[in-house]
Amino acid sequence: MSGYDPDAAATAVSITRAGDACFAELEELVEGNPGTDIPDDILASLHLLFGKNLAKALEVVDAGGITAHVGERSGRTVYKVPGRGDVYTVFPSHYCSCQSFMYDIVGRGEAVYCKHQLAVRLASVLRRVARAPCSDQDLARRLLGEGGVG
Amino acid sequence: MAPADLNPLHGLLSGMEVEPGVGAALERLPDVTSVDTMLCGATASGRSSLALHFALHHAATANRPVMFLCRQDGLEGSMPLLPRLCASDNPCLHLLQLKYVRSYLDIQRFAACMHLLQTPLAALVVEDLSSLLRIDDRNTLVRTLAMLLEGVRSYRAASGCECPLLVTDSTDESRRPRYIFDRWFPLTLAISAAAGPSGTEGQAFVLSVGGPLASTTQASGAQSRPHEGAEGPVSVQPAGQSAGVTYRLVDDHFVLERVHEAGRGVAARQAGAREGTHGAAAAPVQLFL
Repeated sequence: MSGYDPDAAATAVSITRAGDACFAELEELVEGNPGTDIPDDILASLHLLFGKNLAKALEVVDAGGITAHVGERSGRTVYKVPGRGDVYTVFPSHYCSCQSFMYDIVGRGEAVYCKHQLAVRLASVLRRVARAPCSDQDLARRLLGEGGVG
Repeated sequence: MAPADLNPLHGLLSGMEVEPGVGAALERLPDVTSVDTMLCGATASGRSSLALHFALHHAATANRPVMFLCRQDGLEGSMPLLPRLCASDNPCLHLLQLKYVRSYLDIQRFAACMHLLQTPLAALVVEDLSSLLRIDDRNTLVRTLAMLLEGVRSYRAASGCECPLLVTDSTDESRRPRYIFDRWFPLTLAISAAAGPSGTEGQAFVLSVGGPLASTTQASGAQSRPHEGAEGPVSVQPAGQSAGVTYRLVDDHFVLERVHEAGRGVAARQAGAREGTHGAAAAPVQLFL
């Protein structure tokens, strides 16, 4: 596993902020024109920021099945993304229960987000997340049960 | 609801007696602002006591409960010190909600249920993470931190409370997986033994400011500036020697002896000169509210 790298940490912050800006721009476009595809210039920017994981994320979005479980009163949300033989728990800004997140993102710092995190962000903006409201108690059980957080 | 004090140094230092001459220097400490802070320090470094002072500072400031998660045997085996001039019947102590946890599973359960909390919390403290899980179990550490931070952030969004989070850890610096902690904590404060002789009053410790944003290289002479991090404004500190303070345990409380500005230090006076000087010089500044 990697040691601490202050330059990498600063780069990650920059990529995150640039990515946030791209997603915000895309959100505005989709709001004004639902069902629109991702414009080429935004796609290019996202590819520059997130590399090969972007293409993989788009495949995950196209495959469908991303679900947002939302606590009805609290609004707390946990995303579930189907993967290879498993369903991953995703907090899009900072965690995924997949192995790639542990080893490539946290361990090696090879990227800022795994494909599942990116897929959730893309799917959210493109309105391709299935929303599943539940009680707040059920949400807590869902976070702990069903394998918990990974 | 009044905004929370997001400078963790205020809470951590709130229970100390301040040496005469050091009070003014305190204002030159970096204005660090972070809702999520890591405090690292070995056993017997005053870490638990500072965490308690942090909790009581926020409880007193906000007049709202603070939740303090810790192992019962850890707390009872080594009772943390109350802040200076805080009597055992201080009403703020009633705002401290102790929640005993046995392992990382209890932390995960608490985090999963945070959105169910009805009480608006002033702050949340998780004391000594390494007593709750094996630090070398990276998977469990990552999952637990992710759950905890996600839980706290969801709670903040739902409740409107800023609820600063302080997580402490006693892992030795050489074994601490800094790259994991820095992913979730933009600010890390570290306690280390101060160099030099112990003196008659015991070992001195240095509380210094660190973390990923504290290491960002700044232009020469740049002051700390706020900028938008992933979870809100975070102050960025100049590179170079870490800022911090030196404190020492005297009788039943901590005495803040020295302030280190980034790049240089400001000493109150030599340690030997303060022997028998209680009340002889100007009254020390009391920070505890």
